[in-house]
Amino acid sequence: MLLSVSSFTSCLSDPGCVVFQLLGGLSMAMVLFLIASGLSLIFGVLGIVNFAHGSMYMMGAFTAYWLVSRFADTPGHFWIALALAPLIVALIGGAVEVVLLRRIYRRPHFHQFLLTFGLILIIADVMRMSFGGEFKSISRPDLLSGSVSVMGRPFPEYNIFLIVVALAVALGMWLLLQRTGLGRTIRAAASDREMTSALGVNVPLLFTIVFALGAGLGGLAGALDAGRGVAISPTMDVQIILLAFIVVVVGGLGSFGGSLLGALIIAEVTTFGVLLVPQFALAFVFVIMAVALLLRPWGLLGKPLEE
Amino acid sequence: MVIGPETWRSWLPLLAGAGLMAAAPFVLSDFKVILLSEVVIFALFAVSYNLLLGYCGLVSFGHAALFGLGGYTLALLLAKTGAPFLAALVAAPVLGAAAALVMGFLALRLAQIYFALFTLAVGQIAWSVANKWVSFTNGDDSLAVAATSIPDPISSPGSVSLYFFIVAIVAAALLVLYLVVNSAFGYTLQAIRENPTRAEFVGVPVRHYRLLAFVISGFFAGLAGGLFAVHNHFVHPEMLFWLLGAQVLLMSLLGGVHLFWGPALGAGLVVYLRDSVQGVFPELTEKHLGQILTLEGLTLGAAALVVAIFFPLGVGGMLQRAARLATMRLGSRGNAPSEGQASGSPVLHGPVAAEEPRDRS
Repeated sequence: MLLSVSSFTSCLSDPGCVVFQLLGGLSMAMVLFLIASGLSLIFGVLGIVNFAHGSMYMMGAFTAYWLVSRFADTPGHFWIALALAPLIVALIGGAVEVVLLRRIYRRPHFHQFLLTFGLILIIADVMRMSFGGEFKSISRPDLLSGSVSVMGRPFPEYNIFLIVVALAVALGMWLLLQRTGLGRTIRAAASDREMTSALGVNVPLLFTIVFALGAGLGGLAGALDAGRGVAISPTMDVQIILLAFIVVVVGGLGSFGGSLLGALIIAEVTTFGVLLVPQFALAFVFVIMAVALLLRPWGLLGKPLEE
Repeated sequence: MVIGPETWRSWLPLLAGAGLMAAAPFVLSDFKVILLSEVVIFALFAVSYNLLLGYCGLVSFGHAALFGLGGYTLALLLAKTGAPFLAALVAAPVLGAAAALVMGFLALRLAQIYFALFTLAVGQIAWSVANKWVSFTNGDDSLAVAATSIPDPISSPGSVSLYFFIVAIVAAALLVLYLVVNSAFGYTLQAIRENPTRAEFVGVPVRHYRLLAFVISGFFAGLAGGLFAVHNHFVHPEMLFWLLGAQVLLMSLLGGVHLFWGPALGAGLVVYLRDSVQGVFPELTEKHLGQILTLEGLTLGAAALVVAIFFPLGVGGMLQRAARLATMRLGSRGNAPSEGQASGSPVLHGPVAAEEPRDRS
């Protein structure tokens, strides 16, 4: 059944259903936003399209899983995992940047792609070898395992927590970029790398920091999603990177606000789209991506590339 | 064309290769022959992909869709309409070209990274259709190509006749591609790659040239897909998945994008790597096209990293450089072969060469 108009319209006519779907989409949007903002940050400052960003997300999820299993007896183990996983991923990201990425900044795009693609393969394999290929999951922390009644429907408390955390991180990132010296330096480097370097800023160190930050955001998204009970598998990276690209295209590569806007749009469209075209929901999103690229490739809030 | 010591020497590798390919089915096991056929098919896919990548400088992530479309065209025609085999085999590249025309027409309006992302989007749309339109394509259960619909001598997998059939078609296709690339058209493409603005000013219709390259590339990608369907006796939506296209991109880059035969070498390397790694862990029985299994990923990924950082010219480029150094030493009485012609295949002075000015030896 291609179009299920009936279930779509019946949900639209029920305000409870609409709000419920909107909230569900919001949780998805927040995760996508975290990933996309990391991707955007890396592209905006380093000029690299980090195809391996999905792998950061995946590593965040697996690290959270590993931490939860390892510290299963410690009280509050979930919170430890949630705090540590993004940090670990950020550290790995920084190491990758220093050891590998630094050497190819000046190379043509082919090599950047080749390098990040190689990373995807290696990271996926390492995850598969360490954890096996079957799906894993972690259960929600006791504190958040309940649900809240939203207009008569149960909505998981954890999702509300997720939304709050993501918004807090978004606010924190915004403050960092707009109100601190580091943020100012980052924005300067994104705008004009050579001038920033000429002004005495240690640009290589800055790049490492930014990459680690972006990776950490991806890892946080993975850890949060893992807590939600999402199936953790070595194929997560491929699935999520496509969505991340769509978000970034719609919102604008390199724009922080664009990631938020794009994530909201894509998540809500997917959530409601699943009602309308259940089988082709994913294809639907790609159609949006294609159309967006044809009409306004630099996204809603991005800037046109200079040739 | 000058007939002389440089030229006949450059034929040697080609003749040696042809000899090896002809002898192969008689000395190798059935399984290895199947593997070799797969290498040959992917060599065609990769070389046709390189028409866009190396010669035009355009990175497309949707090429797997053209490959898969060729395969599905053949499979669907044979299964649903009982069309004659040859018609189906001709239809595969034709549809590949048609799809490339549509894809390219839209995608070429975009620049740089957006071109790549658009081709990715279109390719994934095609994949979704193949995956979800189960009533038409059988979706994830894959669509079989009945052995009865293929003419007799080539219908059994692993047969010598099938091998030679594939090799013959691919050889003819590669010859055509070689002529295309060595023509005025091919050289103009390279000029466009180097400086599209200048080409435009000189009067070259840049969009049209790129579109034609896209269509030609799609034609041969579709042909490779059709051959793959004949070779495997089934088609699967993963033939259109972007990861397969990324693997072909990997093959081209590993082998060397600025050489005509580079991607073919890369195809051989990747298939060989995957196969030899599988032997180490025999418990990995399932094999998917688009996905990469344990240890394969590690090996391929490591290879990609090494090539990206240390061997930007690709393995083929390294080999060619070594050969050129060797011949320069041998013929050092002032008879050094003219640059770029020593191996007989066109060397593209692509963006990589521009990064290493010392290479213009």
